[in-house]
Amino acid sequence: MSTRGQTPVFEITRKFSRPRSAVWKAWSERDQLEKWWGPKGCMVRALRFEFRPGGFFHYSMEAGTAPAMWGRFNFREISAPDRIVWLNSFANSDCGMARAPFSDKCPLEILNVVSFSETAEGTTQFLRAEPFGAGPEEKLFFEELCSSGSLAQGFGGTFDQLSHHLG
Amino acid sequence: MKPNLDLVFSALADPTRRRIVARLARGEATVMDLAAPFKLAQPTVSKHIKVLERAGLISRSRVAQTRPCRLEPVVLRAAMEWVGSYRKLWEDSFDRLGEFLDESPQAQRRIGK
Repeated sequence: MSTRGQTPVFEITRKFSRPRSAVWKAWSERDQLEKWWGPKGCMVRALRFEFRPGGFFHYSMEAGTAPAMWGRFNFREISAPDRIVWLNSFANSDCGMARAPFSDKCPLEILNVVSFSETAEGTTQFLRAEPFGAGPEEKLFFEELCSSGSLAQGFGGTFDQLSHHLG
Repeated sequence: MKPNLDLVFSALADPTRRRIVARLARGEATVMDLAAPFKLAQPTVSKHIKVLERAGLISRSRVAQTRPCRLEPVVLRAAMEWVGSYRKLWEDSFDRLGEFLDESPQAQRRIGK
């Protein structure tokens, strides 16, 4: 892959028809965050929530009978009402940083920046994420993971057929 | 069994193996059945089968002498869920955030209780 050595960047934008203050609240309050954040089908529970630079959001992710997983946000920068910067990683049950349960090539930490801008229609939310302190293999893993290109596209055809087959 | 996704993805990185997987999605097949449409020698197909088997993507019958191959949907499903998942994680979360914001006056009352 040509980007070896460079840091791959993931970006995603979403518009909401609500004022920025409402979106900010959804990101900055424990009860709200645990209602929407997380992998699909997982119940996210906040175990620790300190919304300040240096503070942690430590959460458990539970899905059916699968063993619980934990994750954490380590907040680095909070500028109300338009910008939050944090390091996201998997965690152990005590809020210590942990490797991804599925691969040791997944970057240990991902640096996320979310910003909110007010528009006539509501709020535009922009998220940018990149691996933090990652080696070449981890960068490559992240790139494959989140570019809707390579992995997803390469396997796309097969997987479409299969998800159809699997129902 | 917890699938080793590195093995799963490296197994699926090969186009011939993806075609074998797609063929097995339609039903069991023997090595001979699989070799024919790809114009491959049986030992070559056997080699691909072994890689897929080690990844847990397929299993082989121990009953019949021809040992037909069968897809293991659980492992494949785990792999499918993982594909593109950082994007999916955020897209799914933002979908929920959007729904949450639409009902937020009520939600905020609940929080205030």
